Amino acid sequence: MRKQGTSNLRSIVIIFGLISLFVGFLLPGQARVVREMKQTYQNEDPKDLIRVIKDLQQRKTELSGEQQELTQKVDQYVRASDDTAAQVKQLEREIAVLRQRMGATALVGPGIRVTLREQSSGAAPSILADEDLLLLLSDLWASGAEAISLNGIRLTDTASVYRAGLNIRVGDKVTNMPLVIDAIGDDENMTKGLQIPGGVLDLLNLRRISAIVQKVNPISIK
Amino acid sequence: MTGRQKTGFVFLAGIFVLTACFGYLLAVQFEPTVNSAYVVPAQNVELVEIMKGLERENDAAAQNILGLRAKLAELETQGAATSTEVRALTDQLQSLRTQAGFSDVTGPGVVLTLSDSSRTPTLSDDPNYFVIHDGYLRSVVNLMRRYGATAIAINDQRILANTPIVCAGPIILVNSSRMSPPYVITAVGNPDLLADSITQDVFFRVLQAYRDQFGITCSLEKEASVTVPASLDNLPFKYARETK
Repeated sequence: MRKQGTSNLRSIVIIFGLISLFVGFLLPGQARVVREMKQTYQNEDPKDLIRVIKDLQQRKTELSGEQQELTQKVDQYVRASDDTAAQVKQLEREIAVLRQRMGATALVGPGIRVTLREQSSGAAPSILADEDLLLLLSDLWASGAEAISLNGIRLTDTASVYRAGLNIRVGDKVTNMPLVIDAIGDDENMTKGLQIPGGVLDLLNLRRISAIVQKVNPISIK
Repeated sequence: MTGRQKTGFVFLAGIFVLTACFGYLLAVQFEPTVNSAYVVPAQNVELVEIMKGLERENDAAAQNILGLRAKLAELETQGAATSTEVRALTDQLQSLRTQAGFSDVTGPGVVLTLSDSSRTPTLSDDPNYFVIHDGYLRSVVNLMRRYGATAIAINDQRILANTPIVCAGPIILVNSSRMSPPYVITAVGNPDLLADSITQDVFFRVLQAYRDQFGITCSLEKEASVTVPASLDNLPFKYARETK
């Protein structure tokens, strides 16, 4: 009887030992797999990788455009080294471009207008969250917006956008709902960018914020 | 219950716990294998290669742009010596470039670092809380602007008004460039004001709660001197034109 108990105990110890060994064997393997997956992106959804590649290709086009612009400027400068009038012209042109970019000059062009309305009726009124508005703006920039204004207030580099109670602060200015977002740029691309299934318009719809997208030409942004 | 029965019971319980752990590990081990089974690995390897190739090209282009800009600045300085009009315009242009984000900015500021959790979520955890999302970066940038940051960058990308911060699945894209964690958000501005206001903000407190609970990295440091790189995107508008 006692012998049988000892042999039971022995077999349990052996099983225990085997399992521990196996577990110990798996642990570092698991950690390595997770680490490698994070690093190499090989296990991503191919759709996401294609999106990244498209963005990188777009970036490549932008950067090579900027390189061409700069090369031209350098060439013009070298050619115009004795020609003060030509230098002045070139400098003035670049100053004008920068002033447009910084929001110092009023712009006009084709674009889209997105009108956002909260639902005030019903048991639970809906409220536009900061994060959703920031996502919408980011999607507009990503799909080629060149200038954006919120209820006529142009977005600049240092302007933050956030809710302050029922108001919306845009930089140092205050506005409120409904929010009319005007964006100058490729209207086709911007509309598509917002309407991606599962994108920002679907999200707003889910939060019961009505969003109407219209193509408008011309749109003016001061 | 005799002593031996008790020991047997304890052993059985031990075996049970071990088997459960083992089963759990097996499940965790198999999950990525099963997921990757319907993703064609060869295709992904190719896509990752294309992605990395494009990144190398873009990095080279960025370096080239910086080189050309330095050359242009040199030519402009030489030109400025020839006439007062050219000198005045050159000064105006250089100050506008700085204001518009096309030159490096160095000054006091803060550095906020966010990174995915090093812990692997268990099956009962929601993995969403263990990673940094694009929305966090948008909110942090917005907070920094709100509290007076004059220049902001995420990793090596300058953030201007028109810089998109979006995601493709788990990959965050800033300025159409792939970001890898840790995400280091650098802002030039009043360090005390920025740090105090950001740490008191609800959003930052939520991130701190995620840090304590799920192990993400979320830290904010005041710095006497930080440098934010210049933006590389200075192409003239294609659609917008000045109102006459």
